[in-house]
Amino acid sequence: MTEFFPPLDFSDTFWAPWATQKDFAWNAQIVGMGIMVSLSCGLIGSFIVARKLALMGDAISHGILPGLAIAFITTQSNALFPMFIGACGAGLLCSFCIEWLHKKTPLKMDAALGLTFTSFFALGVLLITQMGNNTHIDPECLLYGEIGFTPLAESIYWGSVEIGSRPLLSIGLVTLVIILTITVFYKQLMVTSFDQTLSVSLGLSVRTIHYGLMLVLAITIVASFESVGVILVIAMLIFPSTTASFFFTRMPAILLCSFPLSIFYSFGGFFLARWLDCSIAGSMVVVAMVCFGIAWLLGTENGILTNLFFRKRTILDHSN
Amino acid sequence: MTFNNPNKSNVFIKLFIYNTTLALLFLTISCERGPKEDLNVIAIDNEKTNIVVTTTHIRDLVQKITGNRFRIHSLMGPGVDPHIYKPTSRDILAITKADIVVFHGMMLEGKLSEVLSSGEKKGIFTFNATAGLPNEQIIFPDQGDGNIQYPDPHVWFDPKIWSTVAREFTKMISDFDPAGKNFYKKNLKLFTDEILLIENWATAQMKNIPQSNKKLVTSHDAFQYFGRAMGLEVIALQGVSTTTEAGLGDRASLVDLIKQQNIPAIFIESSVNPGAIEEIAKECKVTVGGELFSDALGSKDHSSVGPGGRLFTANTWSGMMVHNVSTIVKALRQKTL
Repeated sequence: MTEFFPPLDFSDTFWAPWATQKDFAWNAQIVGMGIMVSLSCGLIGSFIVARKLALMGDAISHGILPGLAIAFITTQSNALFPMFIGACGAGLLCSFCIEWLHKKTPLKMDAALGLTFTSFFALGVLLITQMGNNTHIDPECLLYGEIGFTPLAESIYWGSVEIGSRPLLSIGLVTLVIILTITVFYKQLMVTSFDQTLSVSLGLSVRTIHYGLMLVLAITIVASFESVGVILVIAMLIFPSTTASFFFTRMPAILLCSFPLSIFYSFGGFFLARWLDCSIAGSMVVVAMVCFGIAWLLGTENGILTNLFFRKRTILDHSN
Repeated sequence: MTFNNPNKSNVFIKLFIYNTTLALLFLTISCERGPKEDLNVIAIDNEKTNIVVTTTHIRDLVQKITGNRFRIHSLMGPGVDPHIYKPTSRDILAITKADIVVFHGMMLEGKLSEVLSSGEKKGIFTFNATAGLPNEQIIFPDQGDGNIQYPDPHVWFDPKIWSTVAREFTKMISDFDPAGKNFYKKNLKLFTDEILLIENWATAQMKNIPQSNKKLVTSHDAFQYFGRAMGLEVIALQGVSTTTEAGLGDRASLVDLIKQQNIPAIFIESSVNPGAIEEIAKECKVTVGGELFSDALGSKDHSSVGPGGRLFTANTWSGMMVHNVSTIVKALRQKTL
């Protein structure tokens, strides 16, 4: 047990990462990266979860593989931009197929989802094997980043002035786009998420808004993947909003909760990883999991304890 | 327009279990550590210059040349497959604090190679151990029509190339620390002499294998350089990278080939799952000739008898070569019926 949990050295875990200027600059970039990924995924995830599409993130993350392979074959390079376009295109196509299967066939949503992304993934594997076993193209290598390496990634220069590392900038841009999109289209997103009949009668195009959301989701996933890896993205799409929903029922409150939660996840995960000496992304998800557990237990809205002591009747009413 | 609904609890529980399992799995995998000796060592020593090395082969080389002039921190422990290595928090700390980071390059470490290549701009002094190799010594696997050529990174199996890598490293480290120049030169001489000794011994040992048996079948395509240096034909189930799975066609043609050519034994690798090869061995009724060290060196508790009856421990390059050569010779020297 002591091997798995080394003794907690307080100053080494909490103070040392910020002690010198170089350490500070380095670790602040890692934590900042974590915050922005959790925030952008958390915000967009709130709508995804509300639409009962929680595993759409998982589906798109697998569905982008053929896009990568095609981009690699056509451009014969693993340059970032074609890869990005290919991945986003395939992700969007994947969500389109899911929607189409769901609407035009008797299939239920989850079945359509599972069917589509596995097909896409299989197609991607096929394409990659066709290209020859010896190529070093595998998503592990090309696309899945490691959050700890954020400060080491190449920088973007404005003339000769260094602005910052590229993954940090790109995820920052994505976060900004998401906040803007949600602010501008808030009403449309809410109406289409919760009341389709109302949105039709209001003259809103449910489809357009759905695919717009899916496009933003695909961009978020691809941008985050490339810098932090897969596990963090899928988890962060789901955890913040589900955790917050044990305390709040209104969407604006849940969206606002993403901000403190993502800060807590990132710092918590960073310190946990330092203490246990393990992967930072993995630790962040474990912190998110603990937060969820606490919220589930203590939450004022349908938390276990609350239901046990105060709201027994409500639950009984629902189950009958 | 409320977000809550009474049935969601169930969905949440499912999601919770799903994500928890994923996260825990991920955490356990990334917490896997090397040997005990590395466990309690605080990564950084402020007194000495710190060198961070990536793979076990590079660690051995750096250790041999620099002796204990520097504090060496190795990112990958014995038996860790560099293709799928994931850094821990302390590994990242070690990189930031390092005075020099020596990495293997040629994309052996996957994303890490790529990231370290641009480390120079970030104020970290990195050294790509294989960057100085002349192109004509490097094997470029045949990739059909593709224009991109990725080199085969398993260069340590060629003793001549490995001496070149040692020489390049010595040049770099002598510039970095001119005070130790003669010391490094002496160590380089000892190291290259040992490589030569092992090479001659290995070539002599290989003569024990009948010509028709000179075929090496392994899990992944790591032994091309070894084959070239030792005059063996190398056939592998998987490609150069361990992350791509073997196709059914590859497997079937390998089975046919083993049966047709009467290959007496096939081999598993210490850092690759042995399942597929063991199955093929059973199907073809050939023996599994033993475990070879491919992408990672072994532990220091394992040693084998090499030239002059000396014992070589498996955590060094020499020990790895001695172990591989004796394992291969022992399994392939038998006459097939």
